[in-house]
Amino acid sequence: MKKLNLLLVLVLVLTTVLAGCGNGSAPAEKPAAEQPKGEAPDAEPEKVLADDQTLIVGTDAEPAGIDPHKSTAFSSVRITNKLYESLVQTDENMNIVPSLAESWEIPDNTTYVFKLKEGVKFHNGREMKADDVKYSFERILNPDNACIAKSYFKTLSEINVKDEYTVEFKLSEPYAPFMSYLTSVYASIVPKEVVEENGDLMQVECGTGPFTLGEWVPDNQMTLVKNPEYHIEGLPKLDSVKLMVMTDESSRLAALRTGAVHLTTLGSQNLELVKNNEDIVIKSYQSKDYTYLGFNTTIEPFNDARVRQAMSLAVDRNEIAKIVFNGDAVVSGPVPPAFGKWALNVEKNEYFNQDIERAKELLKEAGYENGFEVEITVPSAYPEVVSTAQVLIQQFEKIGITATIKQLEIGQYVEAWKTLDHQVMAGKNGSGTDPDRALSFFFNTDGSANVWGFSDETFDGLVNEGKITVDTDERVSLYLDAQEKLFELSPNLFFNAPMKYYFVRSNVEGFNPNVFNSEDLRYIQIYK
Amino acid sequence: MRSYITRRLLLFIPVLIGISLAVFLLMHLIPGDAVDSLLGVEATDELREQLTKQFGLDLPWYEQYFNWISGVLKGDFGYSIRTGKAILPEILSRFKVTFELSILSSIISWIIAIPLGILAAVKRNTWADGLARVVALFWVSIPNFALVTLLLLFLSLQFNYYPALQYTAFFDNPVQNLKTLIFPALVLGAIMAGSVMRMTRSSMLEVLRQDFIRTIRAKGAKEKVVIFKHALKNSFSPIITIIGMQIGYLLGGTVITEQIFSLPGLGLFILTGINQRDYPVVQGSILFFALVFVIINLIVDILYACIDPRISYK
Repeated sequence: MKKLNLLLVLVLVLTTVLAGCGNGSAPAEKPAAEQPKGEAPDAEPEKVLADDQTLIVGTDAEPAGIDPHKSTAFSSVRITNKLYESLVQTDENMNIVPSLAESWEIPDNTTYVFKLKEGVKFHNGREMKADDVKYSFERILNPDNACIAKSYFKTLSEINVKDEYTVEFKLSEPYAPFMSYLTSVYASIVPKEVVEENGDLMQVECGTGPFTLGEWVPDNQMTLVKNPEYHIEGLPKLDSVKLMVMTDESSRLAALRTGAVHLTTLGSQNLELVKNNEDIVIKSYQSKDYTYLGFNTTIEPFNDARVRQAMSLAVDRNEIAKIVFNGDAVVSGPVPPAFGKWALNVEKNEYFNQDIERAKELLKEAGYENGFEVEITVPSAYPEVVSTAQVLIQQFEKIGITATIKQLEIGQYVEAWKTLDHQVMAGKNGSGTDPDRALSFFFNTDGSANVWGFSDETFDGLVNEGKITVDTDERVSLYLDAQEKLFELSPNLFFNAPMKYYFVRSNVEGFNPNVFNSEDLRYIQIYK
Repeated sequence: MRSYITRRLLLFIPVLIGISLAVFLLMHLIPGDAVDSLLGVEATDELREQLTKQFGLDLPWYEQYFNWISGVLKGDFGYSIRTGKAILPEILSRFKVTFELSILSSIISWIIAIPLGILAAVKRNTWADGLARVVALFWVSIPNFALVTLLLLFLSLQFNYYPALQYTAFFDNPVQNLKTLIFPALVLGAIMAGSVMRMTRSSMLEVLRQDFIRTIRAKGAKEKVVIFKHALKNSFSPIITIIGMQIGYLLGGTVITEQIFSLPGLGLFILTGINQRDYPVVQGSILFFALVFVIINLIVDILYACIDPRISYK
């Protein structure tokens, strides 16, 4: 019986300790400053590289296959863009710069000639040559392969191998976004023999990228190993990267605090929790995702542009940024400020500034003086969108519109989005790497993602012209006009582009995410 | 006994067919489909059609069901829509993790709950009984996600410790395996212990009140013998029922615990499958889970007969 008593005491101690941990203020608020075991910050110790150059990343989802042409989920893309490379890439200022192609010429507006870098090797040791480029694009264009980038290159009519290191692309008509689509990881160069041997590249890899695939334990971890023959000397600096699948955000935070992972993504609500922690630094960048409210423009009252304008004028976008994103977001149109000269300065646009009186007048003109009721459909999986809709309810009330929220699980949401089975819908979109994608894709009459029933001749004219105008300045001005027109017609109301955050251990250096390349791990080094 | 087992095994067939049909229809009834989940907004109609055809989703539902179930009967659970991998090996490799976790947490719960339950029953209405009941109530009431999160926070903030992230199979490295599984197993074990302890206590109390116990005591048997040899053995049937049910549930995947501790188990697999509308994955995993559940029920029924000689199956 004594033993039983002892056991009872043990069990009670465990219970009390666990319960005590939840007492009082949230445990996460425990001052992080208590944890560091290192020297005082003013001592500035000399930095010594750690013996183990293995970066451990806490990732929120398991990659669903690693075929660069077929795997479209972000969880896959963040892997494939480390294993494979495309002909060209985008730098942080949205300029197109060399990658596998060292130079290129555009002799006329339907011909592009690329000179490949010599000596670039696939991970199986074979050199990458012009034939591989031809094969990769043929694979993308083959309808049997159902590759996502097929629609990017529908104007590509001929691929000619000029010599071992020169390849020529002929387009059926001028297509200005062509170069920016070439930067996509969906347009990676892959070796024919590996695809043929395995059927596809979902579970195997053979790219030219800085890392090769090591061990892969589904739903647990994936190891990427340094490619010793990478074509840029001295890179990557790491020996390997271990991606641990940790779907739970609080687990990722706890693991980062203890140093069990070096780098992870977390929502902005965690910023406060680590602000006093000297072991964790925050790397942020302005994202090109934006939140929006989209109208079903085929039904009353949203088929009247005045109603949509009135609702746009009722919104205080800075208030949404403050409440939903804690102020860490900018007001953004579909072409976000990160696009530089391509983005219209929305702060000066009349429809982006709250004007309740004018909104009421417009509603009156449209015959809705007493307002109306509206149901906003939101995806429950995106908390920032749900919160945005909640703020909108308050703001619409000021012009007499009574809004309610209908939350849908993501599969149902996509279904409603696709079939126009909604009145208005809040969501978030990404803008891609070209204004054509940001505008034409969502709002052109025949745009693949124009699920608003929206159609305007002037707008279509501008974006169609933009698609075939190769001169950059001329193109910029066309897209600025298109944005002006779009805001005037307001098929969508555009709100905020939030900041994105990486939480990184302070002994990790060389990681500088930017909007066009948020996860370049090549320059990272780990210090003791 | 043998004919009873054969009859039970035969009964598996309609049960499993029923479950497979229910899961199949439910998955196909939820709005949204696998192709949309796979492609997101990037989808063009052409691409969508191509993939729908490729996955056989354009066929009528009964044809899809027939194709799937005839594959299953041949041991082919099909391929994941999301990853393209064969499903059966995936299920088996994940089941291994869930199985280890379930067994470990069950053992922990027995070690805690049965002695505590006996103690509470024997010392009925004393402070020890009261304390044990409060503790059990606490374990039963606290949601497992809360306990798991608190444990993780406690370890990381107080001891700067995070349980091992990389799962290692038990036979590859038992110590490393235990490092990964011990904390989730402790939490699950504690939660299970709550109900097992309560059941042990009430079942013991009932037996202890019976005449034969008084007779044994009157014959001068030692208290130890009364409790462990006679009372405990006779109070085991309901305890086994509840343990069996709990193991069954645990084997179906302890979604939240697996998610928070990043364990590659069956629960996380099914959850991702449902979110992505990966029909073959969900159908296959649930069918597998159902099979495990009915097998465990059968084992529990057989155990009754072993423990209680009054029960015999003819």
